[in-house]
Amino acid sequence: MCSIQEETSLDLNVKFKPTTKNCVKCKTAKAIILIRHSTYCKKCFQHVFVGKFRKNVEKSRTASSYGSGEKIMVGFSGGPSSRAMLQLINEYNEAIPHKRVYSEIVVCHIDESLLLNQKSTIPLIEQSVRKYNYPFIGLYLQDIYNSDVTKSGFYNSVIEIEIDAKISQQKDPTESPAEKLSNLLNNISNLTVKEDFIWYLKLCYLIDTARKNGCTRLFLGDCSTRLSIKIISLTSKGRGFSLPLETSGETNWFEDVIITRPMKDMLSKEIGIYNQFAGLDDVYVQNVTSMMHAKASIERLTEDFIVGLEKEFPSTVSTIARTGAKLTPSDSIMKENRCVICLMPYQENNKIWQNRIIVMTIPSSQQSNGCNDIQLNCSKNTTSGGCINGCNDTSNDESMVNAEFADSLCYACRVDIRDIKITNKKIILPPYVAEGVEERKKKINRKQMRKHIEEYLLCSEEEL
Amino acid sequence: MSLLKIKLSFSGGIELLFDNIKQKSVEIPSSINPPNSTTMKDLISWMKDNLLKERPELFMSGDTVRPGILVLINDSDWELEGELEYEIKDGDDIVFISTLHGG
Ligand SMILES: [Zn+2]
Ligand SMILES: [Zn+2]
Repeated sequence: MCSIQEETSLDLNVKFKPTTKNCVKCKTAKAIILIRHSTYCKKCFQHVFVGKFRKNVEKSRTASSYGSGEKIMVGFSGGPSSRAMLQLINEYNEAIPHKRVYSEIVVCHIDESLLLNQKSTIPLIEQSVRKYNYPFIGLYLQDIYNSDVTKSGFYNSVIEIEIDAKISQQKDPTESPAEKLSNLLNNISNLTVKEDFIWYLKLCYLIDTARKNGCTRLFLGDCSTRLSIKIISLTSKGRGFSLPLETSGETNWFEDVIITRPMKDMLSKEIGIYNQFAGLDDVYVQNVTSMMHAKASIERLTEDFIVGLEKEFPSTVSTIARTGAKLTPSDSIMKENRCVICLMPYQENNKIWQNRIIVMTIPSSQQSNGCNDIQLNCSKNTTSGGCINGCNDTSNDESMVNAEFADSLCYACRVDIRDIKITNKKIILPPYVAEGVEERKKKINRKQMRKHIEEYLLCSEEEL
Repeated sequence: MSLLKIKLSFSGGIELLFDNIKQKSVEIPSSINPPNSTTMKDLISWMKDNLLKERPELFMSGDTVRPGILVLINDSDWELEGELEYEIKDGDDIVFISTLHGG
């Protein structure tokens, strides 16, 4: 019969061609989706998809001390993965209405339209989540420059990066948040660095917002495709030390706000199909590398590489993701060694190590003091006389504060900072960065003071 | 020559390459490459010539769609429908979903 002949004449491709067209799970229904090497019918596909989500959130429930009644925040970009995640959280939480797992669900979206000169994404996003009736917080990325986006809730001194890579801490200048953010990002020509900055500013803003709204957990929509891209790109950007925290299914690195990634086991293909079947319309939000060629940034290049590889070798993503999941945070990670920009841990003495292997000094700053090219000039408020960091405006102290700032950065952020082009525009880092530097300094001072008076102390360390 | 009426849908950002239109009904020749019936491969290159507004490299790679773009034919994964060899039928509903930049 001709139909049999057709089947046997299939050419042998490298790529897997499913031999059975039935669902591997129920074995009866016609398969309509191919995920890796398995074929599923619509019903079984949805069942498996929802199951992966549930497995992850349930794992995080037992792992936490909170149990039920937790108030959570959903980081919602509007993209397919966060769109699916919100739907899944909703279904999960409403399954038994009188016994909700989460007492309250807040949806938070950060608008980065300023960077692309486009109109705000907030109205569209708000509309797409309205049907869930959850409190919605729409933020503009530039508002990270507000003095209340800080630990203390009010901190208005900032760090300025000046000509000759001088950095000064001063009273909040008068530019609008939008101008400050544009000045910072427009002076970074390297898209990899720009993406880095945008991502960490967003992350810090999300954490801060979750904290201030009493949310003990932040859900992020990274899917396995995304995470495997991250694993490769973070490694190539010198962020290997914090990689386990940035890609794990759950981390308590931010202490009072636990980050959970319930989509970590789903491929972007699965998410796209799930959304299509569920009629979930995602909001397409452009970012700085949208529509750009693959070599625009490390992140884009990695995406191109992994997605292309996945096409021919459908286990690429799962292999990378599984390998990444085996990585655990290093024992040498310490809560107090937290980078003031990305809030990720840095390696103790990473600067010494870095100075040894990398030529750090750029010609224009060689005469300053040789050890590094970043200078911090500290002058909070001219009228109050001297700044909170206790330094005067003499150049000697400048370089001391400068070193303090450099010391409180992780390796990757220090490299990133060097990519900021100095122009006649004021380039300012958000107040939370300056607050972090000050906090770190206070901690060190306390430690040093303790050392000095140690022998006179009668109480134990914990009591101090 | 007869025409096939089909529905095309775009989402996940790929609509930007097609004049920002999410859905479009089109009529294509039943045999773009006579004497063979029109296949997905023919449709994709037809779309490139007739619908694509910009940046073909963001839609295509060789004679197929770029990796990371999902194609569903009548709600079924095109990878189970023969991909490029699939013969288009009148009334087909074809969805292109970009999964790139998902987050
Ligand atoms: Zn089935
Ligand atoms: Zn950092």
